[in-house]
Amino acid sequence: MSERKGLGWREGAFLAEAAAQIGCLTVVVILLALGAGLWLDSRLGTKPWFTLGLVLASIPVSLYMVVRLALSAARRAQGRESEESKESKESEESENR
Amino acid sequence: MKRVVTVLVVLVLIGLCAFSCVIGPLGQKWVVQPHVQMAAETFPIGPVRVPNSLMGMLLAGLVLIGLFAAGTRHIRAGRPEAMVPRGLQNLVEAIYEFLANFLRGILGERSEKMLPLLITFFLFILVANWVKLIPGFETIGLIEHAHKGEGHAVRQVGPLLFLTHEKGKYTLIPILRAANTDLNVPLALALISVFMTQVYGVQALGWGYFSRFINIKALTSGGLMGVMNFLVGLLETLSEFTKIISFGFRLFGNIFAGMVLLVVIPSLVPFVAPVAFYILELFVGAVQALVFMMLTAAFTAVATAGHGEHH
Repeated sequence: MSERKGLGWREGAFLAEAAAQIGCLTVVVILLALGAGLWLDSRLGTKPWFTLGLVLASIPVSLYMVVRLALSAARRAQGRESEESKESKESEESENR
Repeated sequence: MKRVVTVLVVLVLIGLCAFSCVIGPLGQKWVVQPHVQMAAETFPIGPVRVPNSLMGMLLAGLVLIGLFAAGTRHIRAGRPEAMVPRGLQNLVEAIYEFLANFLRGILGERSEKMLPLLITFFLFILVANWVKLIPGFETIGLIEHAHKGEGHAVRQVGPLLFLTHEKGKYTLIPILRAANTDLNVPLALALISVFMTQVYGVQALGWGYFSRFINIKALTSGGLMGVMNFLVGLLETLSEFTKIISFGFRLFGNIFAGMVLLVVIPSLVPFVAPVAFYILELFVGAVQALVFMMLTAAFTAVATAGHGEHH
């Protein structure tokens, strides 16, 4: 990626995919925990303990998953960059020969 | 000394949590059970009824305009003290520089035209998401007769009326509600984002930009691959519409779910526990603002780079 030119078509699509995943993750995890907690409490008559416990537990879990997702996206982006720079170097060398 | 203070703070927190666990569920007796409504409530201002999400949006706008007007007053007046930024000007410049540098990394030299829109998206969504955490949002309003469902009784304390947990025929219409908990606002932002992506695409590539959607040239002279390219173009057209839906519903879903959480949890445990969710909402509000801005920037990068081009 060149600093001046910014992202190209592929890198832009890759960034959009990663951002879209990160944007949805927190709400999915917390809503699942909330739904499961409310359901368990209504079935077992334990209101509010399951709801509270599961939702409280979902906060660090969702934060951890967001960080993991962001880091793995960054690693994949770096891998793609180094592969692309390798390819361009190889093609330059073959042209020089 | 520091260690003693730390131990004391930890002990107080543990005590509060224990207090919350024991007393919290008892507090439900005094708490009005939550009523969550997807559509924004309306309240009368003169002859018209105004949605409360509009008031939340106006408040967010006023906070932003106030912050930036105060932070840039020396620059706009051309005063020499603007050269050595202090106080609010420092904050405003730091915010702008951070976002501008971040976006320059994504869009490169193409970013200059797009910075105002992208930074406005980020700041507006961030402030709109954060102002809803101010006490009084969705809890202070007008008391009206409940039209449908169960209402509550009211109790007068001085000039103020309070809803009580007892059944009755009144309901609360909050004056302020977070802008992004009304689907109209995220959808409007999504429409602006996708429309402006097309505008930037045309500015960068000319009218040929639309050939990515309807590629007649490929269809007439490309053989079987041309037909495939034409069909891919139709899928690209469809994806532009799905972008509006995904942009709008992602922001709405996250912020609305946060609002539900901030209503449900205090109704279960009114003490201490809600603090964790307020902190989570600070995080979610910032992430959603960043995601909306990044997605717009990424889609703009795709639109302005031309199909198949990469650096």
